[in-house]
Amino acid sequence: MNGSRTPPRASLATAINRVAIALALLALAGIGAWWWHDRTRVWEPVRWDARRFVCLRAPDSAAAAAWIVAYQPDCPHCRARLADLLRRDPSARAGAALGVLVVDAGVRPELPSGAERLTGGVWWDSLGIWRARWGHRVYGEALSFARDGRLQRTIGPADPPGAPATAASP
Amino acid sequence: MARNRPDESERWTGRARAALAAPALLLPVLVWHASLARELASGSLGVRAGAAADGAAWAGAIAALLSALAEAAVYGMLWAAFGRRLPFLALAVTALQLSMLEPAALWAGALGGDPGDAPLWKVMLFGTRASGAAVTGFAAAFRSLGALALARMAFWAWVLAAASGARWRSSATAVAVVWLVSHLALGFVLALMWGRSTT
Repeated sequence: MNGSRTPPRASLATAINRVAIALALLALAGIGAWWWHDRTRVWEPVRWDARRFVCLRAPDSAAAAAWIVAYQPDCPHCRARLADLLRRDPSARAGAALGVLVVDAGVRPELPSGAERLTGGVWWDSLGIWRARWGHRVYGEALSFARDGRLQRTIGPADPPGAPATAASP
Repeated sequence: MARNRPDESERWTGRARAALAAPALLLPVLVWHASLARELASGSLGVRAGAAADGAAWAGAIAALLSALAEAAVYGMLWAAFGRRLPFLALAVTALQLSMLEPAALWAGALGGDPGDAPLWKVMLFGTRASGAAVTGFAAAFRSLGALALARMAFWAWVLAAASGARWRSSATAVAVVWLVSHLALGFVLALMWGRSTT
C-alpha cells in the first residue's frame, strides 16, 4: 500500500485505526470461540416425550406420528407458518398429526388460533427443553416425530411440507 | 484575501463533490427499493404485499446504503491503519454503485427459483444462491461466492489501488481477506442463530 503518506500528526489516527482493527479481529475470534463451544457441546438427542411438556390441549391420538411446530406466541411468522400448515393437505406430511410446542414463553400461554384442528395437541415447553437441551433456535420449524417419539426429520420454517428432508439432529 | 482563495475553492470543490455524490448515492437506493418492492410484491421473499412490504423494501434499501458506507469505512480504516488515506465518500459511492449488481440480478430473475433447478452457469456466476435451495450457517454465508463476486472483488481491488497508489496485488489481497473474514463472521452468526435446528 504505497498511497500518499499521512502527516506525522496523523499517527494518532493510524494508531486508533490499528486498535479498531485489532478489536474487530478480537470480536471475530470471540464469536468463533462461542461458535466452537456451541458446536462441540453435547446436546440431548431430540426425542418426543409428552411427559416433559405441559399439555394445553390433548392430542386426538397419543400414539400417532406427529409434526410438532416450534411456536412462539409473539412471533408473527410462527402464526403464518401454523396457518399455512393447517391449510395444507395432511397427506403432505404423510398423515402425521399436526401439533404445536409453545417455546420461549415464560408464562402459561393461550392456545394458538386454530388449536381445535391441531390433532397432535398443543404443548408448552415450560422447562425450555427445545432451546436449552435440544439446541434448537428457529421458530416455525416443524419436527417430525415417529410413533415411538424418534425424530425423523426437521422441516425448516420456509420449507414446504413435502421438501426434501433435513438431516435429523442426533 | 489571496490566502482565502484556496480555502474558498476547496469549499466549492467539496460542495460540488457532495452535489455529485447525492444522486450517485440516491439512485442505487431507489434501484434497491424498486427491486425489493417487486420481489416482495411477487411473494417470493415470504412477506405479504402491503404497507409492511413497502416498509420492508425501504428498510432493505437503507440497509444496502448502510452496508456500502460500512464497506467503505472498513477499507478506509484498513488503509488508515497503514498510514494511508482514502477518499471515504468516493469509496462509499463506489460500494453502493457496485451493490446494484444484486438488484440487477434479482431483476433479471437470476436468483431464487426452485431448489436444484438452476443451470450450472447460473451457479458459477451467482454462487449457490442461484439455486434457491434453503441452506444455513456457513453454506448460507458463502452462497454468494461465484464469478460475479470474484469480479466485484477484483474491481474493488482496482479502485482501492487507484485511490491509494498501492499495487493491485496488495489491494486484492486486502479485499480478499476482508471478504473472507466478513463472511466467516456472518457464518458464525448464522450458525449460532440456527443452532441445531438444521445440522
